[in-house]
Amino acid sequence: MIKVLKNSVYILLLAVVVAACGAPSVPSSFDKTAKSVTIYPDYKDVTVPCNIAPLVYAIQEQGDEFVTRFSAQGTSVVVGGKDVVPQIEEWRTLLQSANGANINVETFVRKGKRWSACKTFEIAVSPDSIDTYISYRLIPPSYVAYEQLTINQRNLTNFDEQVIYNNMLAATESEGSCINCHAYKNYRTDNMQFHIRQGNGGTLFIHNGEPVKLNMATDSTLSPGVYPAFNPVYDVVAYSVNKTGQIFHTVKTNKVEVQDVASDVIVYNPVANTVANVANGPNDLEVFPWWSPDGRTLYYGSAHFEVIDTANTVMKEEIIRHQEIKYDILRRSWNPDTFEFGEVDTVFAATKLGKSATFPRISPDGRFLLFALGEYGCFHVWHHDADLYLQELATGEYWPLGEANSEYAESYHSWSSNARWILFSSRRDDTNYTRLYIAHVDAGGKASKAFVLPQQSPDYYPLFDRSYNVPEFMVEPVRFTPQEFAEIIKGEAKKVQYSPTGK
Amino acid sequence: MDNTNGNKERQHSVDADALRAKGNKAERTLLQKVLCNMPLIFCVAVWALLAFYERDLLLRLDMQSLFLFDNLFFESSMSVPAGLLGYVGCFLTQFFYYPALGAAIFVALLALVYLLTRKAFNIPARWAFVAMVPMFLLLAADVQLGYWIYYIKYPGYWYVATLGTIVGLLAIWGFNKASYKFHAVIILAWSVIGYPLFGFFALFSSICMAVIALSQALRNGNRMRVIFDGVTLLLIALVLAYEVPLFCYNFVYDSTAIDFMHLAGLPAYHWDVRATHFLKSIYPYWIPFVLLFLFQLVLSVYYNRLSPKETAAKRINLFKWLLMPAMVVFVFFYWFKNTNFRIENRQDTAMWEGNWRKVADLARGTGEPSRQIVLNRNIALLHLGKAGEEMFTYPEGSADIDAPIAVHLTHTGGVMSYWCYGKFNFAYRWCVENAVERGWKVEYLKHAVRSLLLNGEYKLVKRYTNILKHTLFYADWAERYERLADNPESIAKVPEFAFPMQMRVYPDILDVDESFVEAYLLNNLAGGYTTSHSLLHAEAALMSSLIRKDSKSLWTNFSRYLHKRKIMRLPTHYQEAALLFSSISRSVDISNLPIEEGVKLRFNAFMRKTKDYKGMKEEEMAPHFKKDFGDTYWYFYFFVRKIKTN
Repeated sequence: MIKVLKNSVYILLLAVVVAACGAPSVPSSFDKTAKSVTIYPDYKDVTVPCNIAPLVYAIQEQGDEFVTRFSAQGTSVVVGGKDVVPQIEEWRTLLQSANGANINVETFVRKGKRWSACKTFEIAVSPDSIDTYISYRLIPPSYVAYEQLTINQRNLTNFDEQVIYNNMLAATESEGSCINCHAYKNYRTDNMQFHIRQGNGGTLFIHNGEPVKLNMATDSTLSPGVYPAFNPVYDVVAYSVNKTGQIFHTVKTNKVEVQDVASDVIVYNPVANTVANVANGPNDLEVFPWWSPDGRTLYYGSAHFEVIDTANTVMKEEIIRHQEIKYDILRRSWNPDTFEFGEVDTVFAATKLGKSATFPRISPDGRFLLFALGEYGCFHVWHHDADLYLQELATGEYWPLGEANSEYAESYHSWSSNARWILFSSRRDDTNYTRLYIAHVDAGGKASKAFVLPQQSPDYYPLFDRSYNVPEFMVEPVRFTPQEFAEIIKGEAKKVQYSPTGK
Repeated sequence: MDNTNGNKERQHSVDADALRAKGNKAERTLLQKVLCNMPLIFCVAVWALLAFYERDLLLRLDMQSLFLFDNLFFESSMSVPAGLLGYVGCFLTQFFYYPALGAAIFVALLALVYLLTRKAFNIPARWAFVAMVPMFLLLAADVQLGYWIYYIKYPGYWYVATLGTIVGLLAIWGFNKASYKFHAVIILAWSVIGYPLFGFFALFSSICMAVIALSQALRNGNRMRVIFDGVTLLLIALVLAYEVPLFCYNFVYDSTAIDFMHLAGLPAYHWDVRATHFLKSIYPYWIPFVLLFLFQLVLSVYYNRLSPKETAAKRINLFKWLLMPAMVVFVFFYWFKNTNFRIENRQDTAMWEGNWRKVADLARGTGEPSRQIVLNRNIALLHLGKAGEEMFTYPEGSADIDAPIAVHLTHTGGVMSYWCYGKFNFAYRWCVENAVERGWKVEYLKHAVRSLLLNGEYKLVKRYTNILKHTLFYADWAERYERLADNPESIAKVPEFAFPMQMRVYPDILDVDESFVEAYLLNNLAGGYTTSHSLLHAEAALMSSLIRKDSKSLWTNFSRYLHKRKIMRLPTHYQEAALLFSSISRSVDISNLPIEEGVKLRFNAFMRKTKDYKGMKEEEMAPHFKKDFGDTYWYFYFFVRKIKTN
């Protein structure tokens, strides 16, 4: 009986404390100011999908108390505190109310006894939904060394994040392994792959739900497969094969140059377990293949580089002349019946502009080519001048994605399955750590202001010591566990054969 | 004997001890009193050794660690089994910022290990010295590290084993206090809950509990109790010790390989058993740990069996006199006492303090220096403007690093060297490379902030100052640098930056150091990669030519140096070099150089002496020249050979 009484007192006390704290409310009187509120991350005047996770941010203003009111079409959510953390259910209700319209965000700041209201900003809610999942690799902004790397998947409608694979699961101190280049067929995970380099090296390849570890090295190709592109229709995967080196700037803040001494494009036929060369010109560096949505055209970046003996090795010559290596975007038709490729066609001649275009990605509706354009080289993630560009394939007209770009590197990008959202990495936050940004692209190819992938805490990015790279959309999660992958990775790899025809 | 009887017997032994102690008090000699306070002596001695003798090691340990008051840091720490040990270990390591305080905390925890060992294994007063063994072993496990402090990847290593032992002892103590009815539940609960937090230490203490139960059951002779309270519990503990990590591997954690799950909390991954050099070099690092666990197992077997009787006193004393000196010798043997390692740490502290005279003077304290010591010394002499006068008066060489692993300057003091020589991108690069492999440490963060600040990357500076602002002791430092990032025009007024900024006079090129800091710096400086020739840079270039014994670059750098130098007197070593190289090549006219008569006379004497010893090998000649010419460039040129730059 005494225990019951004691518990009742505790509950009562708790209720009093909760009541005393109270729910946040908008002040009854305040001064209106023209001052725009400073927030981090910057979600002001962005366009978000109708199914995105709550936008959590911190108000970076001086004040004693803060209240934020989100309102849309008669629904309003009030959040107290300097860290603005809307509850997920309230946020969803808000998104539903504002679908196709705007959420108005009012910020009230109390200094002493006086409340003031900052200038209202808006968040546009697009009726275009975004794919539920994305995946990315988390890696320190590394140069050469690596230790723990993970490939993660994240649910964009909430904050759930899971590890797809962690390289430490099959690593020892004396034999570590690097993991990279996860890719999926048609945004689904029953056909996917990622590579493991060095210890337990190979390619973890899932074909129609069956995982296998491949050894893609052959005597007739430059290297095992590197940058992959699943054909969205047919059972082939294009890869670039690369001999890559890294070299470091002594002064420039770009820090690193990643260069290919040689690179070609190959295709892998998972049914026959064979590879074939596609583009391997002796003085050409071909890289970053990508298929058209109908699966009948292969796009890739290509640079023409002739050695003129300014140094004793090609690598050294490339180092000296690194600013001369510029890539165009080419394409070749492909016949799925004969496995034959057509003539080379230049899609975007960046070299004529004195620039370098890499990483072609065709929108799933087939209308646009999205690529990164910088001054030179192919690894634009280290080039602050690199920006995203869009080209309308039907007209050849191209333009920078002005609202989505920043003064720092924008690179690795991918399209959502409905061709309305792009996801890309950017170094704009602190110049060194890549973060994922999302931007809406309308039917006319105009991009909205990009917003950073929402996290549960505004402190997350400033303290998180990993870069996000290789962001890819998915419509379903990977279903294998990291431990299941580890067992396969520790096993023997199946050898891939070379076939000149690719069949 | 059931549990009640056991408690009575314990009570009896404690009472007997107390009475004996009371009766003998008056008769105790001073020596006996001292011996009674052996744990106290141990604690005071260890504290003094750590706080003073190892002051710079403790400071470096703090710099090679990081603890952030932040949820993300906590979550990240807890993402591996035994994560709590690492988290608390990092928390405590930060107090080495004040070596005396940090040492006191560490010693207090060792004292707690002693007290808990007595409690957990019910060790009577007469045998209390036995409880000191874990203190010695835990100390040895830490002070053995040496150059591993740059390579060990276990956060909070210094404290992990001590903390793990403490929680294990607490659990055993609690187990012994509980009724036997709860023994199985306790072992089950402790293994399941304790493993994620404390890893191997929880599993091992569960096994100790079972061994104690078995030992007690065997002692009282009740067959049923032997089977249930002993064998069954031991089986449960062993099965749990095997299965709980496997369960956690499959369902809880995703960042630890299965091979290392059972040993979570121990530096098993870092001293990888599959490393080829394991038997030769790595194995001894395990010995303190192995002895610690074996010892606890022995104490579990002997739970309640150590005799408190008077008759055993002589034998106990004999055992004490054998054991304690043996432990002291053991720790002495394990204590990493390498002179160069100690000098490097002291130099590092002095460099952060800007005490360049001390940095240079410390370089005299070794027979053969490591290249890090030489690099630091030369930077200090450049700062002091004494390079041309003193550089070749110090001990020279390239002593092997006393470590079973390849130790590179890039991982130890190379970042500081790069920063001093204005190679900010390379300094930052190695901060990041090292952080990638071992996680961010205070040292990397501070170097990153300084490098980026002088490279004009203010946005990135603020990222790292923001992290440092979440530490206990570096927030003020971070705020000071953040203010500089906010007001870049004030950077030029900071005296600390004058030297590196004068060295940053080179164009952007693509380059790589292949992890050889000194070789890269020497080649780069001597090679004349510069856009303007400050006197400091010109002198550094000339120094590099002298160290490389490179006549090709020497005269170019000599003329640059002379051109920039306004004071007429040429430093002695440069005069020596000019005389030597002109006599070798004979094509260079140095008649216009201000070579002093004394230097010329000494050079002639040197050359005459070389003729006297003609036909002898260099290594045979060297001792004869050392006394008269050991402070000259000529000695360095002819007799300091096979320098392995790093």
